[in-house]
Parts: sequence; C-alpha cells; structure tokens
Amino acid sequence: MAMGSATVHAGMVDDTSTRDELKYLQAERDALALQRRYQQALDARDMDAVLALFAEDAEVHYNGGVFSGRSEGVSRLYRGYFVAHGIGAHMAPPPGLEFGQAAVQHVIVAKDAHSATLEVPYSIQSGRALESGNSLIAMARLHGEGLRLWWEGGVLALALAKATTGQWRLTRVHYKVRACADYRAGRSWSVPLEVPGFNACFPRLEHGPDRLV
Amino acid sequence: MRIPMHRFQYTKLTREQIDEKLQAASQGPISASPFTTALAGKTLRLVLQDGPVLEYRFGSDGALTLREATGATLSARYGELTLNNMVFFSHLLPGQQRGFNVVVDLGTDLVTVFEIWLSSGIKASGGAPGAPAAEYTLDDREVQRQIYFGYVDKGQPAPSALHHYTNRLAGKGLYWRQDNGIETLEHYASVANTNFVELTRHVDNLSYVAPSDYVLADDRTFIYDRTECEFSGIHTCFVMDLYTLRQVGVRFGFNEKDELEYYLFRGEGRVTGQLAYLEPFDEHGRRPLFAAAATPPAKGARTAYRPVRTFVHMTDEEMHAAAERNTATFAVGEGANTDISGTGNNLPFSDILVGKNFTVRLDNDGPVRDYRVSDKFSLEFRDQRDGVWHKADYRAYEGDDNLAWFSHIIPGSKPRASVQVAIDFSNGLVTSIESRMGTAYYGNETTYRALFGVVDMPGLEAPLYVRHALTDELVGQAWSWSYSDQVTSMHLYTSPHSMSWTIFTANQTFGSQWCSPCLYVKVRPGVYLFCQNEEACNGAQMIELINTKISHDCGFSFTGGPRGVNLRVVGAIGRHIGKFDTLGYYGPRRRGV
Repeated sequence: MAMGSATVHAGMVDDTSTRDELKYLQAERDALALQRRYQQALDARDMDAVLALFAEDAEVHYNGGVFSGRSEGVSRLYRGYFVAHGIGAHMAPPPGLEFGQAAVQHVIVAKDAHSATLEVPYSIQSGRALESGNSLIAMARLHGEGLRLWWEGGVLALALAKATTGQWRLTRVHYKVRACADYRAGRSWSVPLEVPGFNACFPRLEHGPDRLV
Repeated sequence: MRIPMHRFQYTKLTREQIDEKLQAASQGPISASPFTTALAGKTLRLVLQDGPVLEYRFGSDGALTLREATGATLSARYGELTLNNMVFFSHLLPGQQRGFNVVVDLGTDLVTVFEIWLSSGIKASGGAPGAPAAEYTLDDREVQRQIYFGYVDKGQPAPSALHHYTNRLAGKGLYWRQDNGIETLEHYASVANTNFVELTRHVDNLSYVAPSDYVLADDRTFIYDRTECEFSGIHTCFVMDLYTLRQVGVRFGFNEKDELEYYLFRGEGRVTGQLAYLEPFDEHGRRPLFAAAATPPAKGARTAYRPVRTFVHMTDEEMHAAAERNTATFAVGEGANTDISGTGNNLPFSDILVGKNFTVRLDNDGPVRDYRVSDKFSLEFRDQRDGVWHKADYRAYEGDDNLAWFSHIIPGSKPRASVQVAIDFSNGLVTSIESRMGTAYYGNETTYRALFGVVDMPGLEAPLYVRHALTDELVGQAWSWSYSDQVTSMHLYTSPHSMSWTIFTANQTFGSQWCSPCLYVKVRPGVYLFCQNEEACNGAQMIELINTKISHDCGFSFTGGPRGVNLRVVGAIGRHIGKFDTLGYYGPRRRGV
C-alpha cells in the first residue's frame, strides 16, 4: 500500500513576498509540529495533552461517528473510547503492507496563514470491547482487557486554526481508514479485517459519537 | 465455619458499630509471639512517594506518637515484630477508623507503608455482561488500603530506588502456619489476587479469592496483603522471607462473628509449588493491575471482582416461568445465545452415539434411562420411572477413544434440568452429571450432582462393582483454557471441592480472578470430568471432559436467567501451567487437637 514519495505542498499562496513565504513556511512547520505532538500524546496515552491541542469547537470523525466539542464529544472519544479500547498509539504496519513507509504529507495553508489543513498517513492500534455475555470477558474488562485489537491504517486529515493567543489548535480530525488487519507486533502474518462503524450514538453507547455519518 | 464464605450473610456493620468495636483495639494489637522492641525509643521520619510525611516517635512501652505532615500529633499503641532487617509495626489512630501497617528495612532505610481504613464510603460500579453498570457503595467493614513506598529520612539524599510492586511472586504457592495455629494455603496465581484456602477456619477447605498486592523489598523479602472483599472484608498483611520461609504480619478487621481481629503474628511456611508465568521476560509487574483510564486510580482503588453485587435474584417460580418461555439448546431456538467466544476452540461434535440403543443405569436408585439414537443431533430417551419417550436435541463428543460425552435437556422438567453423560463404551461405565436450575439461595443458579453407574447394551458387559469415582488427581494442577483466540482462562484446581479461574491480561499476566466449588470425576487415566457452578456470581455451570492426553477439554454450560434457560457447548485448548504439591493438606482431619 505504497502512497508515493513524501512531499509538502503549500497551496492558496498568491503573495510571493519573502515575508509571506516565511509566514506560510512557518505555518506549515507549525502544522506538522502539532500533528507530531498529537501522535506523541496518543503514544504516551496522555489524553489531557491530546485534548489540549484542540479548539473548543473542534470535532473528530472516527469510525463513522462524529464527536463534537473539546470538552464534550472529543473528550469522550479520547478519554473514554480510545483509552477503554486501546486505540490511537502508533503501531508499525503488518509486514508486507508497506503502509506509510513512503507516504505523502499534504499541507495547505490558507491565504491569511491563520488556518491550514494537513493530511498524513497514520498507522495505529485499534480495538473494540468484545461483545459477549461471557462472564470471563466481563472479568477481563475489570483490568481493561476483553478487547479485540487490530491494526488500522489510513490517512489522517487535520484542520487547524490559529487561536487568538497565536497558538495553533486542531479544529477537525478525521481518520480516513484505508485498511484494517488482524495483526499484533511480532507476528509475521496478518489477516485483513472488515470493521463495522459505530451504529449508535452517545448516550445509548457509552463513549459513543454525537452523530453518525 | 461451614457456610461457604460467598454464601455467608455478613452483617452490614455501620460506622457507629465499627467505632464501638474498635475501642477494643485501644491498647493496640495483640500477638501470640512476644513483641519486639527494635523501634523503642527511636524517632522515624518517613518520606513517602506520592504520600504523606509521617513522623513517628516510639516509646519504650508500646506507645507511639505520630505527626502527619499537616496534622496534630496523635498518640497510639502499636505492636512490632522483626524479621531479619525488617521491622513490621501496626497501629490504629484512636477515633479515626484508620491506621498504618509499616515495614521498615533497617538495612536500607526503605519503607513500605499501608494506610488502612474502614467506613470508606467508596463507590464502585459493575454489572452483569451486557447489562448497564450499577453503582454501589463498598461495605463499611471492608478494610481499605493505600500503599506508599518511601524511606526513612535521616537527612541523606533521597534513594534512587524504592520498594515496588512486583510479579516475582506470580504463580508461587505457599503453606503458612501462624504462631496462633492458623494454617493457610496461599496460591499467588495472579498479580492482583490470592486464591487461598483456610485450613483452620473453614471445615470444607474451599478456596476463595481476595484482592492482593505484591511488593518486592529485596530478592528474598516480599511484602504482601490481601483483603477479603465481598466476604468479611478482613485484611491480612505481612512480610515474608523466602530464604527462611518465615513471615511477620497483621490481621485486622471483623470476622464472620463480627468480632474484631487485630493481632500480629509470626509464621513459618513451605513452598508448595510454582506455576509458569507467561508474561514477557521484560515484564516485571512494577505497576499495579488497573484498567487503562484517563485519570490515575483513586486512593484505595483496587481491581476487585464483585459479581454478586449485580446478580439479579430470581425465585424458583420466576426461574421456571422463564424456562417455560424459553429453553434454548445448543444455540438453537428463540433467545439462544450464539456467542462463540466459548466455543471457537471446541472439539468437533461426534456421531459416536448414532445407531446405538442403550440403557443408562445409575446406582443407588438413580434414574434408569433408555436411549435410542439415530441422528447426530437428536435422540429419544425415556426415564423408566414414567416410561414416556421424549425427543431431545443433543450434542456429543468422542472425548477419548470410544468414550461418548453428551448432553441434553430433560424436556418438561421442573425445575428445568439437563444431563451430561459420559459413557465408556469400552468398559460400560457411566457418569451422569445431573444438573438443574435452583439452589437454596437463587432460583437462577444451577445445581449439579454426579451419579455413577453403567450402560446396558448388547455386547457390552458392565462391571458390578467397579465405577467411575470422584477424584483428587487434578488437585493442585493449573491449566490454561483457550476457548477462542480472544478468551483464555486459567483454572487452578485448588482443592478437592473448589477451584479458581484467572483471566490473563493482554501480555498474559495473571489478572482478574474468582472462585467456585466444583467436583472432579476420574473417567480414565488422564481423562476427567470437571463440573463447577459459579455460585454467588452468575449461577452458571460448566461441565467439561478434560482429556489431559491431548490437552483439550470439551463440554457444556448450563445457565438460567430472566431470558430463560440455556444449554450450550463449550470447549478449549489447554496448556498445563504447573502443579502445587498441596494434596497432603486435604482430606478428613482430626480437629480441635
């Protein structure tokens, strides 16, 4: 699943002055840095740090659901759903998929350099609680297990905006899934998986999305 | 005590009652062994990581004063016992329902401190699988604990390494005899629980599970506690030296008679065995077992399985009405549970019974049932007591060569019943596990008994005297059972009448654990029937044929609840994890000597 060579594009740029070029380059750099901090916080399971990167009215599209508002839906997704299901940390793709090894990063900075969009490949662990009446699984849930875990890869589409404080914040995060596989680190094999999206919203589904798409 | 601990109705002691009972401890703990005086006349300033600073001043008469960082200086009575370089002392704080168990290493100046308290008001939640979580408040009598690691501050730089949680005791078993005669078998088959057998206090030698903590002081010295959550709530905490197999510690809390037990003890032990522990070699268990969460565990938090809190009580009549509405067999029919998490690794079904007509004749005026089997999944049978032929769905395995193992519902039975029958067609011996809904406690729990007998069939001459029999050959053994790639449970066949099961974490550390009564039947060398009822839990029954020669089991589960009765198949791939040498501790004993 090669995705081409790495490039960075600055778009919507019609002012060619050096000052503006620097402004756009700085915005590109800031956007990429924010994306790195986002993934590093997920890898560290530091959901407070993840949420600190979001604007208050941000939304996240994940697995067919939309989570709205940093302190509401987005918080529920990261502090609830991601933590409970072991989702989000970087995971190397299964052998043979070559996913993300040579992928494109797209950065588009708005003309005023106060907002940007960014697309990068992602490769993470994902999972879901096993749905079962089995009491053994209920016991496993006690210590945070009873999960079906898998590898997930795709394109992470981010929208960012510069806050009045001058700091960049995520306004939209969209996990565009390209592939999932039954795989864990150390295995030499994987099996493609079809993962159904959310079929219910919060509060019917604990940690569920605010709406389905 | 003859009532099983999970059946005993412990008094819901109130805060006021506990206050009153704690007055008996105003003079500090008692001890059968003489207290030591290693700390008499000394002062200790304990600096605790993520915890308070404790400033102790010890008198020469069993008195101490304690000043916590921001508090007043309090006076209390304490007890102290030493073990090598370790000093263990315990005290309560008058009027506070709170105290400390402290382990001080005089060689390293490292300390482990257990803050203990009652009437916590801690709220927890849990629920049956698939049901909404229910919130409840922990019993006031349940001793809570928070563990702090730290050092004795003598003005030196803070040490770079402290005592810490460990998995180094995982899988180990010990027999302990305390200086007051109390004998216990402890199986540390989890990093967060103990499966223990009270050889002295309880007459049936059933094993129970209690949340525990395991701390490494040094390579020979470990610090341990368990709290009998969901039972009396009593707390046991000690230091053990595994070179000399000695312990010093404390027992604190209220027993089944609501009596305060607050005493220090010495003990001597014996290692009974070691199970393999399967986590990665670079996993040292330094973090206590908790589910991942966005916030750190609250003070006193522990991973405790409390299944009966949310187990819905049904009367016999309610249960039977549900069974009449729906009795599902083998994932067939309305309301049948088609969950395959327990069956993915099962043995295949067998046609070993097809074409056979036979009579199962069970001893001691037990049932005599005639069978006609012409199909792999359905049979006809009649009980000779009423002579009525019934059709029933069944599933059969060939659990060993020419050994049939099958199950079916008894149609129309009240309470709803099923049988699980092992027929050895090589020698004519039969065991029937006769199961039904209902116990003395819940209509929606199951009851079982094993009946032995023979099969009558042309060409097969069954013995007159030889029979299958209950066995203790599995006692002490641990087997992991992988029902599917997602569900593995380790069974520890702890005692002749009880077992525990342990759920592995993702990296195969021994995790959550619970226990139940059970029975074992020897069918052939290496082939056994095992039956357990998760009583005071979910009431479910598992009835398995264990074939140790192929490390596989196969069998059935029988459950009931508001949705009716379910008879299902279940089977798993096994691994032998190890064995404790404990059989000699069981069996009829002369008591009171």
